[in-house]
Amino acid sequence: MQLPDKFLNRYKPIIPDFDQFIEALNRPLKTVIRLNTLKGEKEEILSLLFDYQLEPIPWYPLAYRIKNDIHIGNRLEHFLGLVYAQEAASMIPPLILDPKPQEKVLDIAAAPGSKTTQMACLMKNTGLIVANDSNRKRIQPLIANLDRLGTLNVVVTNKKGERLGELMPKFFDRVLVDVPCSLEGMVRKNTDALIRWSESNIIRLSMLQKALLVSAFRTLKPGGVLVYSTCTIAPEENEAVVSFLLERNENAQLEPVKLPGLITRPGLTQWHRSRFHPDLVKAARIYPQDNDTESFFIAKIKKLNSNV
Amino acid sequence: MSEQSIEYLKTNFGINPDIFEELAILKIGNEVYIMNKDAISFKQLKTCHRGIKLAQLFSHSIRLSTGAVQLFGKFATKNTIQLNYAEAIMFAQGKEIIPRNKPIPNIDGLVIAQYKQFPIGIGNYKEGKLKSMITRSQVLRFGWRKRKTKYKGALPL
Repeated sequence: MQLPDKFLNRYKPIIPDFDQFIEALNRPLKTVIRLNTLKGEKEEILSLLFDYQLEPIPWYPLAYRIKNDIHIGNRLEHFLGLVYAQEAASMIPPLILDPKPQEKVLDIAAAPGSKTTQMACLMKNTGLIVANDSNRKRIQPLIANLDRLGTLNVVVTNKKGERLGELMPKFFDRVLVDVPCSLEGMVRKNTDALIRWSESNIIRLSMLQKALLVSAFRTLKPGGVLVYSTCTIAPEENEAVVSFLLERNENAQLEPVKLPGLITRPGLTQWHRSRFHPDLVKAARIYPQDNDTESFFIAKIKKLNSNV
Repeated sequence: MSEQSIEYLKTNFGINPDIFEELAILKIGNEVYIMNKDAISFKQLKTCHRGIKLAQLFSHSIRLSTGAVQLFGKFATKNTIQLNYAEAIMFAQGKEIIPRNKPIPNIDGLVIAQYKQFPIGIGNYKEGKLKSMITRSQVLRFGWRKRKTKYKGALPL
């Protein structure tokens, strides 16, 4: 079985170094772990990982790629909540959002809690994180991860993300909008991701994503920062969604997405017959051939004043 | 009533209540949760969960949650037992073990089992045997494997 032709033809014109991209998709994705400093110091935790062959992730000092065959879920250090298996690209949005201790933060689609627990670490268990997920079935795994990692600054809510804007306007200092998406970027980890792939699904998701982003932007205080991210390549779910917000909110301003050691490609400013906001070049596309990760899209948006 | 758990930690494990000064306790039914003060004062939306579970209250006893023991157990000054790696694995699996070390102090009763500086959970030490009290739903299970895929073929090169 091959990748759908429609998929290949669709993305060949916009993905740089396309052959390398396809080649990277064929390489197995190694497990990456994040050290949980809520439960131990970095050096203490590393001392437990004596039989791991670890390769540091260049842009995050608490993340390591495991080069040997270790099933992390069977391990004592996992049981103790000292390590969390999380794809390296999925660690980027919280790092770009950069939540500070004592701030109020919203994670609008939080389950299963990978990014929530990472933000709790960055905030040193202070301030407040509202970890929301609209899917009740996903709340229990989220709570289990919060308990295992020892987060004391998180409350869990089960609301439709689209409604949070009206329920909590101008409440948060930072908002993470890591939305449900068509999962195209996860094909290295889970090749099933493309089984239900269709353009109609992409269009359906993009409508939900726009509603979530608009709602999330309303929850943001003036001066606050929002990060929008997906694990998909589809411009309809990425640049088109962010462009939709920018065109309707003069106080929304894109900021560059940069992490030392991370290779990124600029966001698109046009796709087929659509033209996007010119600032979208400041958004970042993450491709597997550049950082040995999944594909990701990340945009950082600042709210300039209180007109919204 | 919720302070019962903090008192329990002090009496049984010598954990200084001052470490909880910046935290808040919330009792819901017979379960006790611990969180920071921002989390307990959040009233804007109905919540499903706050902080982490600290303990479950029974009519004559308290059962500390494994998550709370792993987070606060490092402050214990008594009734702890040091396990080696093999013992720690078996303890985390919920088994009864005969540990090489004895608890400090060396008396029977509930102890916090530790591997190096990391608390694992509560066990009941009696006559040289240590019974893990980690609940069945939380024990360390072997057999976790990477997800199998339905997508059989290679991707095009």
